[in-house]
Amino acid sequence: MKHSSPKSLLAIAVVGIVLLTLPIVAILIRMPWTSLGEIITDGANRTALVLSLRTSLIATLLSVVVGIPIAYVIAHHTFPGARVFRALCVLPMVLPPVVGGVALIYVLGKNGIIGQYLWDWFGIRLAFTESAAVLAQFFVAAPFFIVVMESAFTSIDPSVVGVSRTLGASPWFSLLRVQLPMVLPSMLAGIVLTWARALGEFGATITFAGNTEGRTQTLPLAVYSALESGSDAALLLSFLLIAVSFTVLVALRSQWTTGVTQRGSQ
Amino acid sequence: MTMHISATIRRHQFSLSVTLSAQQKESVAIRGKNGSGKSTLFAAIAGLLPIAEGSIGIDNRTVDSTAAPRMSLPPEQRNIGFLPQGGALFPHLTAAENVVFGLRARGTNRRECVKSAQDMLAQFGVAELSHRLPHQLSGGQRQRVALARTLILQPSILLLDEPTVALDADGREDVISVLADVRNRFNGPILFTSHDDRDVAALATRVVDIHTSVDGEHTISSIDDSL
Repeated sequence: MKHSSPKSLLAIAVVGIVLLTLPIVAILIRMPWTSLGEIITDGANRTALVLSLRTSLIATLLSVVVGIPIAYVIAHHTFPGARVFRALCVLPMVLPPVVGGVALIYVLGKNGIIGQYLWDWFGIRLAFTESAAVLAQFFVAAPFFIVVMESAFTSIDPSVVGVSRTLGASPWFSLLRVQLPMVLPSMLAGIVLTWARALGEFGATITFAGNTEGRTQTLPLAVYSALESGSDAALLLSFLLIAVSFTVLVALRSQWTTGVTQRGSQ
Repeated sequence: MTMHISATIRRHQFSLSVTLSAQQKESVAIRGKNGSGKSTLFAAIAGLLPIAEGSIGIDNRTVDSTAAPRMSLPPEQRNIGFLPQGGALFPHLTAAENVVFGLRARGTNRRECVKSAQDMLAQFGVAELSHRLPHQLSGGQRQRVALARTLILQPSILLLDEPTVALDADGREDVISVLADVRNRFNGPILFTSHDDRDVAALATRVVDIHTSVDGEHTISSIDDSL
C-alpha cells in the first residue's frame, strides 16, 4: 500500500534534513584532501588520536565493570530511595559536561573532598593528568551504558531466571550463563554507544583534565585548539570523529534491531 | 510425602496441607479461580518468591520459614522440579544445552552432559531437535524440552504451572500425552495447575480446590485436602 504524507509535512522534513546534514557536508567540501597525509602523520595530531583511543577505551572498560552491577541493582531491587539512586546514576547524561568537570574538580581536585587526602597521604594528583581525562570521559559516558543495560536486564523474563535457580544455578552462575548471554546484543550496543560518547567528550575533559598537548589533549580538544589557531587540522580531525561516529551509528542500528527483546519474545 | 504451607506471600495468605503419595503415581490438580494465587504458590514452593510470614515444609523438613530464616533453602538446594508457564527455556541455548543446564550448574563435565542430553531428548521424542534454539521449536516441542531439562535432575517433586496454556489443539494433545507418560515414569508426586477441565480429566489422579476469600488487602487461599 502506498503511504502518502501531507505535502507541507514533507517540506518541513526536507528543510530539517538540509539543516542537519549541511554542516557535515560543509566539512567534506572544505576538507583539504591534498594535505590529508601531511596532517595525519603530524606528530601532535597522531598523539591526540592515540591518546583519545587509549583514554576512551579505558573509560569504556571502567563503565562496563561498574555499569553491569549498577544496572543489575537498579533493574532488580526496590529499596527505599531506589528511584533517587537511579536518577543520580544517570544524571551525568543530561548534565552539561562542563558541570561534570567542575564537580570532578571538587571531588578529586587537589582541594577536593577526596582529592586533598589523595594528595596529602599518597602524593597522588589526579586533576590535569591523563587519568583525569579518563575519569571525565567515564563520568559522562558510563550512564549511557547503565541505561542500556538496565533496560536489557528488565526485559528478561523473570521466570527464565527463576527456572535457572531451581535447576541448581547459584545467583552468579545464573548471571554469567543466563542473564548476561541473554543481554549480549544490548551489551555490545551499550559498549559502542559508551565508547563513542567517551571519544567525543569535550567539556568535562577540558575542565578537569585541561588541554595539555601530549598529556590530556584528546581529539575533540585538538579540534578546538586547531580551530583557534586557524589550522586545517580542525577539519581533518573533525572528519575523523565524524567517520567514527557514523560507523558506530550504522553498527548500532543492526545491533538494536536484532536485540534481545526480539529473540527473547519468541 | 506431605506438604504444609502456612504463609503470607505477596497479597495472599495461604493455608494448606497436602498429603501426597509417591507410590501411587499421584498427579494432583490444583484448581482455583484466576487470582487465587496458584502461580504464586508454586513459585514460593520452588523458592522463587520470598514469604512475608510463615513457613513451608515438605516431608517434615522446613524449606522456608520467616521464624527460622537459617533453615530456609535457596531454590538451587530444594530439588524441586518447577515448570513455569510456557516452559521458560533459555532462549540463547539449544535444546540440548537447555536440557543439561542443571548438570552443568552442578559441575558435570561436558562430555557426560552431551550423552545425557541425547538420552533425555530421545526419551522425550525430540532427539533430532537437539541443535535447535527454542524459537525454532513448536509449543509442544518446547514443553518436551522443558520437561526433559527438569527431569534430568531427578527432582523429588514436580510442579507444573499451566502446562498446556497458550498451546494450540495439537500442542495441547501432544503435551498431555507426554505428561501421561511422565506420570508413569516419574518417581514422585506431580502437582499441576490448570483452568482447563480437559487437562484435569486427562491427567489428575486427584483434584484439590483452592478456596478463596478476601480479607482487606489479603486474599485468603486455603486448600481443603480431604483424602
